Amino acid sequence: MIRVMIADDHQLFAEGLSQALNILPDTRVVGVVESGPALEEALMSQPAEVSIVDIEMPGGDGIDTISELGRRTNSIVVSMHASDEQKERAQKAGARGFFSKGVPLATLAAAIRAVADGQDLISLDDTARDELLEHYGQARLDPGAASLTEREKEILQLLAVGVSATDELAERLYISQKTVKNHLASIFQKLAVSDRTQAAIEAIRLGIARPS
Amino acid sequence: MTVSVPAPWEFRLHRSVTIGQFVVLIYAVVSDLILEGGAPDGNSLLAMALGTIYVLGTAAIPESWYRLRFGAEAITLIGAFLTITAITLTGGPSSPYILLSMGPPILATIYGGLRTGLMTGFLSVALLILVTISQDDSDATISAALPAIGLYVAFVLLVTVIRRLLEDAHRQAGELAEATESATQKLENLVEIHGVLIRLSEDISAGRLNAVEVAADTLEAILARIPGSSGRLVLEDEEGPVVLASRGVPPQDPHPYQVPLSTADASVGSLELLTPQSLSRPDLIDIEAFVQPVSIAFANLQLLQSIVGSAVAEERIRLAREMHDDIGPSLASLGLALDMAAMQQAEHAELSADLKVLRTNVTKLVEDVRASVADLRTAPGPTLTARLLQSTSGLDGTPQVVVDLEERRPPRPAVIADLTSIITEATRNAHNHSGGSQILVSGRIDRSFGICSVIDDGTGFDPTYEPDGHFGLTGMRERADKIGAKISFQPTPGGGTTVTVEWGNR
Repeated sequence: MIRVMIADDHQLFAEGLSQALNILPDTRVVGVVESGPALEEALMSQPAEVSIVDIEMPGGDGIDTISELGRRTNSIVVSMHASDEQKERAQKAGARGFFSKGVPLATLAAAIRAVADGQDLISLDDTARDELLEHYGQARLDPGAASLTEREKEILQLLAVGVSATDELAERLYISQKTVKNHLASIFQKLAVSDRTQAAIEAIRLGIARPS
Repeated sequence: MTVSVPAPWEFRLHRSVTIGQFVVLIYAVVSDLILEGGAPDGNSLLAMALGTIYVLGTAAIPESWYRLRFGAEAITLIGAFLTITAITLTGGPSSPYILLSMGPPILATIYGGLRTGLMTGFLSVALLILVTISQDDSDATISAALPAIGLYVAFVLLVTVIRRLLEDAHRQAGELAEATESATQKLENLVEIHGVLIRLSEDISAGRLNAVEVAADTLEAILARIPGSSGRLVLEDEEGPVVLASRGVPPQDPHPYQVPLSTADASVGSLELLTPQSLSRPDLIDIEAFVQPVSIAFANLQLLQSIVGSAVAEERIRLAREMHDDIGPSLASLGLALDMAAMQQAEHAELSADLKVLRTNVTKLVEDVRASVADLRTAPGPTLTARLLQSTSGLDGTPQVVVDLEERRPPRPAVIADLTSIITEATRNAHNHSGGSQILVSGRIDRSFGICSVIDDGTGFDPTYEPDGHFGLTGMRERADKIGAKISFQPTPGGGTTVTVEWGNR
């Protein structure tokens, strides 16, 4: 799971981006802030592998903030100022990617996966960048989620449709209640959740289960 | 003033004198016949013949003969001899032909003035006295001649006065004609100046209040007055001279002129002309008068543009901020929402495809907004014409480079640098390789679209063949692709090559 922080003072865009990234199975937005200083502060308490940063924000230039952040996060500039001059500045400041705000979600998601994986998109020419983004086009599930067994996925599907009682789950699956509890413990560990509701939500988010 | 044809008053006086001489001749002939009792002797017949020859001669001789050097003197001298001889043959001072002797002094006065008239008059009187002396005693002769002398002098003075009055009237009429012609010329100039001002007024009304438009209109109006000329209108800007308009093809062996554009307290710029013939001082004064209101218009325009420029700059910044802060991100957010919807509806192929089409359109809108924000935040720079004049200024000698563009507004900042490079490269190629005598850079330019051709009259070339490192055609094509422009290479009718670059949509 890639944790993403968004720094953009345009509320509608920031929230829209947050929602869009949260429906992807391998990205989770851990914070949305409206300024460069707020981003620095947020990253102190909530680490994020990738930060989406606008250039013009209250309290300072986003590119200056990227320079301050150093290696604490992998920054991608997403701005209405997608000029060559700004791109050069961003690259010097240490940004790993540079996109216009018109960038499609799939492209941005691939870019997030790439920079989280240590790639430096901003230094590539357009052709090389597009090839690399194509490579990162598909979601990559966490090892935990990827290791779910078929039975565990069946339990998650039942949780997603509202079947959460142990006895009911046991009855539906023709297994003992103890076995159900064992499966749930394994699911909680693999998905890094602590209860059945969280497990159901995560399963839906990951596309493993459907709510209806 | 030089008069090459007889003045009307001279013609009229001559005609009046001729009629008078005919009347006097008839009177004299009739009187002589009566005195001779109806049977004239040889002297009378000879006198009639001489009088008739004189009268018909003065009537028939072309007036131009009187204007020959000593023409009037010779003709009237002969006339005096003829009339005095007729008088001598018919009784001297008492001859009926005596009045006819008034004719030569009067004609001499008309064509030669007072001095010639008096000389002819005194000659006639002297001859008359000599004739009388030869016929009678001297005392009686002189006393008889005195009235004749008085009469001659009186007539000569009278004609002289009339002549002077008529000359004055004629001169005044000439001066009046000159003044009328001058006033007409000035009126025509004023009408043309008025025409330019009307066009400026129309430009203002149509919202085309810019120096390029004013310069183009002015230059075209001036060049229309001097066929075969070319010219440039240069404005002195804070950053130096800026060529606002360039029109026409320079003539061979041009005569260069520079007319300053200035107001009472400032120099605004200059009008540079190349004319096929030299201009006279009055012509230049006319042109200076013609550009005077335009100079004032330029000065006012500069002042107005300074004021408007500040307001426009502020408005551009406000608009750019609004587009950057609000419209752009909102559209981008809409795009993300469409992406989400498309992902969630992946099972419904048709709906998903529609959503993706919508998403593509939104992406284009965001990019348009972004480009507009960049344009709005870029201060307007020099015109394409000014850039091309600058970049081709080093191409001296043959072929001669003429930049003649109709540029209503400079192209967008995003494309103007590449357009300048493409057109400059085409011009440089033509200059170095075409072997022609002239290169014309012409076209119509506006902010979002335009077409520009570089036309040479050289030997032509194959655009598909490019030796290594030559011509830079690949670079020109790449630049054209970058800004979405089309570039073509065509033979120029009559020889040579035409390179055309076209961009944008109307």
